[in-house]
Order: sequence, then C-alpha cells, then structure tokens
Amino acid sequence: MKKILVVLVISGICWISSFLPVFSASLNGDSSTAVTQKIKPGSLRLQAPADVFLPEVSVSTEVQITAVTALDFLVEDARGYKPPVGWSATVTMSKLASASTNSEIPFIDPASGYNDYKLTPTDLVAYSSASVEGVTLGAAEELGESGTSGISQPKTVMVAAPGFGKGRFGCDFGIELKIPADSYAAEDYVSTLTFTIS
Amino acid sequence: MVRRFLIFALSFGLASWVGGCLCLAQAISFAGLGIRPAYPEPSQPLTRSWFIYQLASGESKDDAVVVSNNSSRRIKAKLYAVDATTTKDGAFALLGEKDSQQGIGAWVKLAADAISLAAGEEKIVPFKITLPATIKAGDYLGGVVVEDSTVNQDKGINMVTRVGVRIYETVPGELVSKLGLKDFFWKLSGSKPVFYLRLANEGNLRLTPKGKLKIKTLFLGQTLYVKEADLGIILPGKEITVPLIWPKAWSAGVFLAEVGVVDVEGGKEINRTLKFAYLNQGAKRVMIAFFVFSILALVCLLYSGRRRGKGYFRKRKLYF
Repeated sequence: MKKILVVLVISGICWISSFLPVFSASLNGDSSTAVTQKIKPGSLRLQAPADVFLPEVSVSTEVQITAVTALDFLVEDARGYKPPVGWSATVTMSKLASASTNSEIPFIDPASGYNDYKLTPTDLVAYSSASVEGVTLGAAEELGESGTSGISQPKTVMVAAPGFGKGRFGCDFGIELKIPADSYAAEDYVSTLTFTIS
Repeated sequence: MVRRFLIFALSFGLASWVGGCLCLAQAISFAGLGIRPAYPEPSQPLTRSWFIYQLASGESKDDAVVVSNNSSRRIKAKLYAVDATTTKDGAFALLGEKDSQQGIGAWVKLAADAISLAAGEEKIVPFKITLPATIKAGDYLGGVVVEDSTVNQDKGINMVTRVGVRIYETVPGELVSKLGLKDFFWKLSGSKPVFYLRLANEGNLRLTPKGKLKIKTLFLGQTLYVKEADLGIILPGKEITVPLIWPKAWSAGVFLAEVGVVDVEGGKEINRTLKFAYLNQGAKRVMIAFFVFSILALVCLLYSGRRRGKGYFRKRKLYF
C-alpha cells in the first residue's frame, strides 16, 4: 500500500509540474496592486523552414518529378505597434547547379517546355493568441527567372495586410522540381532559397 | 492489475513532464535578426516600422537603422540597401543584393556593409540617402536589408534569411494616382474557379487597391459568394495579377462574376463583369457515371424487352 502511495505521489507531482508554470503565469490578473511596466517593442523576424532533403532521382529519357515539403517556415511580428502595419514574406530560388559538371536545371526546360520549379505554401497556422484574419498564403506558382540572373522572381509565401499580422505565424512549403530528360548526373546540385521579410 | 495501474500512472506523469519541457523549449527557440528605424518621428507612428521620406530631387538626409540579435549566439550579417519590387500577385518584395539597383538601393549609402552582433546585442548603423538631382516626382520604394551570413546548408538546398526595413520616398511635384484594370479572367484550378485581376499602376504614386468579388447565378441572380480583399501593392508603372479563389464553388453551373476595384486612397471604382460556366472533375465523373448507367439501363431494358417479345411470339406461335 505504501508503495502504491509513493508511486502515485511521484506521478502526480510530475503531472502537476508539467502545467504548473503555465498556471502561475496566467494567474497574475487577480492582484489589486498597481504595476507599472514598460514593454519594449520587439522586432519582425523570420525563421527558414527546417531541414529539406531533396529525394534522389536518376537520369532518365523522361522528365523526372521530385517533390519535398519544407516544414515550419515561421514569421513573427513582435513589434507590438497598434495598429500593426502588416508585413510580407517572400522567397527567391536559384537554379539547381552543379559545380563539378558545370550544369544546371533551367527554369524553363527548352526541350519539354515545362516549368521546372514550383513552390506551394500550405497549411497556414497562427500560434498562441495570433489571428489568421488578414494573413494569407501565396498561391502555388511556377517560378520564372529574373532576367538572366539565375535566380527566380520573388514569390509570395505569406502576407499580412495593414492592420493584421501581429504574433507568430507558420506554414509549410512545397517544392516541386521537374528534372529534364537526359540531365547530367552529379551529386553536388545545389540551389539557394532566400527568404525575406519586410 | 494494481501493478499495471501504477505503471500507467507513472508513465503518464513522466510523459506529461517531458512533454511540458519540450513545449517550453519549442516556445523559446524562435530567434534571429531584426531591423528597424533608429529615430522614428513620434508624430508619425508608421515611422516606427518604416522610413518615410519626402525628400526633393538632389536632397539628402542622414538616418540610421537599429539591427538587433535576439538569439543566444553571435551572428555575423551582411547589411545592404536594395530597390523594392512586387511579386506577381502584388506582395511587397525587396530585390536581391546582386540585382541592379536603380533607385533606393543606389541612393542609400550605409556606414557598414557587415555587422557582428553578440547574443542579445543591438547596434545602430547610420546611413545617408541622397537623391539624384534629375529625379522625377513620384514614389520610390526600397529598403535596408540585414542578411544572416550563416547559410543553413542541407542536401541540395541552402537556406538564406533576410529581414528588411522598408523605405518609402515620395519626391514632391505633380503626383498622379491612377489605377487601371487591364483584364479580368478566370481559370479552373483543380475543382475551383480562380479569378484573376490584372491591375496596372498608371500614375507615379504607389497604389494599394482593394477589391470586391461577387459571384451570382446567371439566370436567377442569386448571390452565392462575396469576398472583399486587399489586392497588394502596385509600384508606379508596374502591373500585378492577383488571383481570387471561390473556395466553396459549386461543382457545375452557369454564373456571373462581378468585380469592383478601388485604391484605398480613393478614386473611382472600376467595375467589370464576367459570365462563366464550368463542370469540374467531380461533376464530370458523376455525369460520366450517370451516362454509362443510363446506357446500361437502356441496353438491359431493350434486352429484357426482346426476351419478353421472343417469349410472347413463341407463345403466339404455339397458338397458331
């Protein structure tokens, strides 16, 4: 019986300690003491998606499609200004290029006419007390090259209209690549995704 | 039984504790670079987030950005000024460092092009903006960007992050605000119709249009969907194409789409209508299934009728 009591007490303490800090933080509204607090503005920040591993494809006489989803692209507007001014998060993508073979995957495949790069933001999430009202995801888009720079035109990931977008937001990010037929094989194809918030 | 209960209770308690710790760790893991104007004007609240200037051609101004690092590690970053552009669908965007800079990106000279910030540190970086003497009246947009020099490298994909503070410069003079709706068309994307508004800025001030889309049944005029939306930003002399989706579209039908577009600063509303009809994939499948079923039913009916007929004639033959 003693053993049962000891185990129950330990497990109970563990369980209570899992949410006790949250409770203690949320009970501060009951005090009648006047508190003066200066709250400094934070900043507008972003966090690139977590690890992205492009699946391997083999050289083929046909176009090979490969797709991957980059998870947890995050934006945080902690500037704290009222009303919020809104923000826009965009991305550009450079061509997949291999230094060892001096070859690259073009934005438009000259043989098939396919657009080889497609980005699709999905699954908009608002964290904590943030509201998704006024925050929208960019549409799925096939990327076009900006001049002859080797980098795509900027593409919308998430946008907050003026008056919205306070707090933290996240989305996932679908990347679809069409590897043209008879591409050169190489292990060092690299592309750069540049995420910008302003 | 008692032992199982104890194991369950202990596991539940430990799992809750570990889960709570993990959630706490996740909540504080978001960190990085920030940038904002160093000397906002109290009378203009927007200057806390953006630089807003009305400098005349040939004029210059000294200002500064505050670059902050709220992470727990030292960050080395690049700092540079760029012109603004928009995405195809009208979101504000900043050009890349290596892109050709014709406006703000060329006019802003920063005191430093690289910066190293310790954990939690903030630094003020001064800059000077000088407008060319021959610049025409109108809006010029750009920004100052801080780019984390640490490239997050994965298999095949490098990740670079940048944070920018916008610069809005309006050169005084004859300022024209003129919005044009060049095209209003639709396409079926998957099973949903998407309406596209091709908007043009025919003036020299930036425009931030708003739009209202209304979908009605063509014959009865019953309103099925109304959406009001911010249509992004259009830079002077540029065009954008904004998609508007009808999310709970019917599977098939004949409809009328009405759109009204106006700039938030005012001006005349531009209206267009569009008649459209479609049958989406789901409806097509149902139609095909119905058609096949109808054919089969007809064949069965004819076949059974023929059988019955044969029997009847056979019976009649017996009589004769």
